[in-house]
Amino acid sequence: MAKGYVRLTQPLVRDGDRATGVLRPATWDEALDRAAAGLAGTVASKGGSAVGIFSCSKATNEVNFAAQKLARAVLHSNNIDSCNRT
Amino acid sequence: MEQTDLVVLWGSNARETHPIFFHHLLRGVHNGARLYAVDPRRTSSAQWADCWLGLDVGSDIALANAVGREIIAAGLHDEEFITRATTGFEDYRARVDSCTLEYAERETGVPAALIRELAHAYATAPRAMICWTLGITEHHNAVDNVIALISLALLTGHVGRWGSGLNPLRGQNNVQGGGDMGALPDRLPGFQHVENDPLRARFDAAWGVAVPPTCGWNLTGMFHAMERGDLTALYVIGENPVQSEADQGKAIAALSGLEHLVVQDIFLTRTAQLADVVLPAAAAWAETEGTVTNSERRVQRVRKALAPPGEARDDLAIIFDLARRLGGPADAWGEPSAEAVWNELRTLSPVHGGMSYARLEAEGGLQWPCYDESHPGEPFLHSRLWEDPVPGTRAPFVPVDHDPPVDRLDADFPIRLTTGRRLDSYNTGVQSAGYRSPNRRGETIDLSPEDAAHLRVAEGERVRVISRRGAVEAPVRLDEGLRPGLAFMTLHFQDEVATNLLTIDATDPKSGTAEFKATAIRVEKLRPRTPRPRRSRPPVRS
Repeated sequence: MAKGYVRLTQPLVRDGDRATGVLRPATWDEALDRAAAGLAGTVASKGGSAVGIFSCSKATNEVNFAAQKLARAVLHSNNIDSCNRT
Repeated sequence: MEQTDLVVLWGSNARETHPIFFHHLLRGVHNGARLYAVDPRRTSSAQWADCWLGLDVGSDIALANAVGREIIAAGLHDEEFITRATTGFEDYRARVDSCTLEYAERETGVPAALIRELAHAYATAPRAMICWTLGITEHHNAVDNVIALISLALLTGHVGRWGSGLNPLRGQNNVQGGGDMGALPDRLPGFQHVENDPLRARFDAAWGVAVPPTCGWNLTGMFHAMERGDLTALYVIGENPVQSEADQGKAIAALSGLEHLVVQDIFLTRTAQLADVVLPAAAAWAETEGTVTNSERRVQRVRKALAPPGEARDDLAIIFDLARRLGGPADAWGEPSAEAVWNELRTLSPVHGGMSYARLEAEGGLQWPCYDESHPGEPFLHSRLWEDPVPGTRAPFVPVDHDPPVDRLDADFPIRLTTGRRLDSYNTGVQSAGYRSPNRRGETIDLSPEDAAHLRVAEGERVRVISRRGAVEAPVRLDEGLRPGLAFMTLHFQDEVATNLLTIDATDPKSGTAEFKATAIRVEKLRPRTPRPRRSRPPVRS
């Protein structure tokens, strides 16, 4: 039987590309700036339709409301879905 | 559920997948309700039933149409209700006319007598419920499957009244709420359509933006967009699509090709392991404040009992912080409080308008729609269908036709694999693997005793399971609830047995749901069947 997963306790960022890079611990500032930069850059170069959000069906209503508001009001995208397809 | 006369569990193994709901269902049974189970497998839910209809995978419309035809032929349909509250009955009647009991027995494998019994029992029960889950909706024709069931309720008037109705049982504790909150590509909060200009204008005014005026892509559409290179950045919150999507090989390739992937989760799932940025979050059921919405539309409070570990943060705080760094205005995205976010939602979603935290706490939750603070919420929907005349549009009959599963059986792939869930584990197993359970036995390929004998495989023997898309290995388990030609696996142990390497992403064009319930497989032994006989040889001369 596989060992259970352990809780994530710190942000991680990848150094290098997806195939060969590794995830390493980072501060919240570094992680959030990096997350935001990638999303903002995509919206700026390709528009909101190139960005998507998968929201969480076990998170609260408030989190889901905030996620769709982030998509629509900040990322200019209607590409958001929760676990409705299974 | 506790005050009904008949329950049909159609494509639902609620005893194992919805145990709390099933507890209420059993109270109904103890109060005298009859239980019918429609499922290819004789599951533990079916064992509780007065009658089990073991149909072939993907033949639900054939069965439902035959039930409908039999109700009409026996004169048991509710003519008053049909005339007053519905449209399209004559087209429906004509379309199901060829779906005789004999036709359905051939098409579904269910004996004609049982189909007749279900039809008569359902139609004559004073109150009756149909409950369904993924057995109906994880098909390429999911929406048609649901429509076929709706037609039965419209035939008999078993809708819009206490103790009668149509009940999809939702699979996550807040999937209903997620959709209600507008985490959908075509719906704003409160299920208001994105492309409805006056409704969208209210959100534009509230947020000071222009909400994009056309629907976005759902999850299935987003995957297709990733494959085309049209969607290149993805923010995943608490989902593990690397392991939960059908045709796992394809899903991994699509996610790997993203330019930017941000994953927010409580564990380093296989999806998080692909990410550019991983954000550690709070456990939603114990480490955060807020509300959730269940299958009976009841919104209830959840409360923070623990702090998240280490540097993990509340999901709402993470999203708000991200929004500020993305240029969202500070007055809209300041330090969040769950109650303030909820109160904003209440100003924008009429059906939640009356649900203050104070009322939710005092009442033990409220069922939407709940329009204002004096509104008690609604315990059941569609009561308007019993008014004379019916306000609004009448309920339409929509005839639908049987359409067999996409992943066809043939000589190379002769066994029908259907996948599902067990009581002891949860979805891809990330959250449940860490808890010990005497019920949890790991992944198996469940085979009928007949198939196992034909394949000459024994209980516990590891075999290779192969589909047109991939292969996995798993030990055999014999299950007498499976008919010959039907196999069962779960998605609970994806790290050990990646069942979704086998499944097909044949999706319903309307709903985007994939046909997880119908994969074509073959099973192969890993070792030769019989040991080769020893031959005597002359001694080797050195």
